[in-house]
Amino acid sequence: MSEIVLRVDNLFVNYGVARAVEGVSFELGSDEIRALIGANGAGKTTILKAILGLVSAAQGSIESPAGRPIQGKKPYEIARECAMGYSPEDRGLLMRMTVQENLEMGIYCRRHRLAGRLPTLLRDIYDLFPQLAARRHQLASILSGGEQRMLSIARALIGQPRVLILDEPTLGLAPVIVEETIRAIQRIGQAGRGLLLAEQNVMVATRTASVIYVMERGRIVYQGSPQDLLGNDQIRTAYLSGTALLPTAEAG
Amino acid sequence: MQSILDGLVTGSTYALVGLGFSLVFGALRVLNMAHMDLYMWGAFSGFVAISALSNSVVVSILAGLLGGGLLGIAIQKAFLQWLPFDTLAAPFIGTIGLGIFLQNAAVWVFGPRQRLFPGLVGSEYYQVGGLQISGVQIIILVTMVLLGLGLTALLEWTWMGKAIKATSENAEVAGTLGVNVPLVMLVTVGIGSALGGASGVLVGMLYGAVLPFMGFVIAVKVLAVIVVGGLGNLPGAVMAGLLLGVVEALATRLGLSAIRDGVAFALLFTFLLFRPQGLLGERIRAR
Repeated sequence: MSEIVLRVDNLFVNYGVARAVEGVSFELGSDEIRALIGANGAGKTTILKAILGLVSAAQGSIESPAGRPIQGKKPYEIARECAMGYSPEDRGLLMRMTVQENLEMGIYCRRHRLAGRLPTLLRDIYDLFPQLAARRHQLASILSGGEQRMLSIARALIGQPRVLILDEPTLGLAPVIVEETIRAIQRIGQAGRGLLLAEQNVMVATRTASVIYVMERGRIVYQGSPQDLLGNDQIRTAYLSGTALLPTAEAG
Repeated sequence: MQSILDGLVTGSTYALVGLGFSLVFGALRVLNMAHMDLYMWGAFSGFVAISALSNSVVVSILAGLLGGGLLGIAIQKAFLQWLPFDTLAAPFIGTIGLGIFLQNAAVWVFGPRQRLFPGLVGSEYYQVGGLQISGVQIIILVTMVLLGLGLTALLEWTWMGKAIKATSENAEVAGTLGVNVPLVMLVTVGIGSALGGASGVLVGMLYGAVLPFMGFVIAVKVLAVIVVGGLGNLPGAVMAGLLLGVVEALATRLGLSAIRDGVAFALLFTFLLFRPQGLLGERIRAR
């Protein structure tokens, strides 16, 4: 594996007395895409939130891309390292800001170093997501669902993080936009950074990730390559029947 | 026209208090009912600065900004940040109590009666295009414009301004982008309270007096301003403040001065019924 940019070890997260994540461990390399898949409530988003400091870990350790432990830190203290870009499930856009202002906020954590390069960074992002260029001066609130998702991913990407974390990037999107998003994820994944995906849509995960973790009730119950996963009828039937768009091994 | 000019002057003071109130609401999601008492303490800061330092308009306004701002920061650190924000009632009731405490503190320090605010400019009126305008009125309008432009520049052209806007809209998202949310909230409360403090000084100049209960008088009007302008909407707060001032002045002109303060209520109810999102408010939703 390439250089490890994110390490989660024996992570436990509780919501009150309910256990949401139980003993999860995995690593992410600097040039690969890994995906957490599972039905609603499996604990995927909670793991991402723990990595970002949005929920506290009850036990276990998380090592940031800079190699520092992040437990007990506030989200902005973790984000200040600028090592991780995050596109949340609800897209997390600043709706009263324009497309360009949202993108500018993407370099906030590195503003002193990157402000001078902002025009170049914006141009690169608009090359990657041309539909955002035409709407750069429009409010984020008036974009379509697909464009909002693109903006959310673009904002997570513009600060040049070593790890990109995408939570349900295709949720609620039309099939044609899902295809576009998959292509965007594939392009981003080839750019030498670690990409961690949480998905209910197995088709999206298997087409983008090299390693897939199947989650159920807060635990990783299976891990392997997309081919292994799709070829394993037992896992498909036992754990993935509740997830969306389950492809066959041939289709994947 | 003269009534409209007079209304714009009074409305400028409402707009400044409402602007600060809206700014703080945006950052904390709390209706800070003690804001009007920061306005009063700002007025007394200006009063003290004139008495102790210099008979200068600039010094008194700076003292109001500084007094209101520093007190706001102290209140945020010592009180507001510890309130349970998961209920609406606790911060609302809590800040009403805090306001009463601040009033009592002012009574203890300055006494219960009004104190005469020294005249800093002459009482003569100037003729401008057939309208009469006093030196104090000019100071109020110029201060309002300068502070409004300064706030706009801060919010639009600085990273701190962007951080304030991001935190006001979604503190969790702002945090994941690296914004030091507690610090930005502190700065926002400081700026909002400073605007309130400056307005207190301007009102002191306009009416020639300050008193510990002056925040109570303006409280309902400020609530009307932020409802009419749209909760948390800064340009809306300015427009609503000016509108309220003009409507009050026109009511006085029409011989309705006895129910002048009732105009604020009438405006409030009208907007609550027909445009609850306020003048410039819009419903923002994710697709």
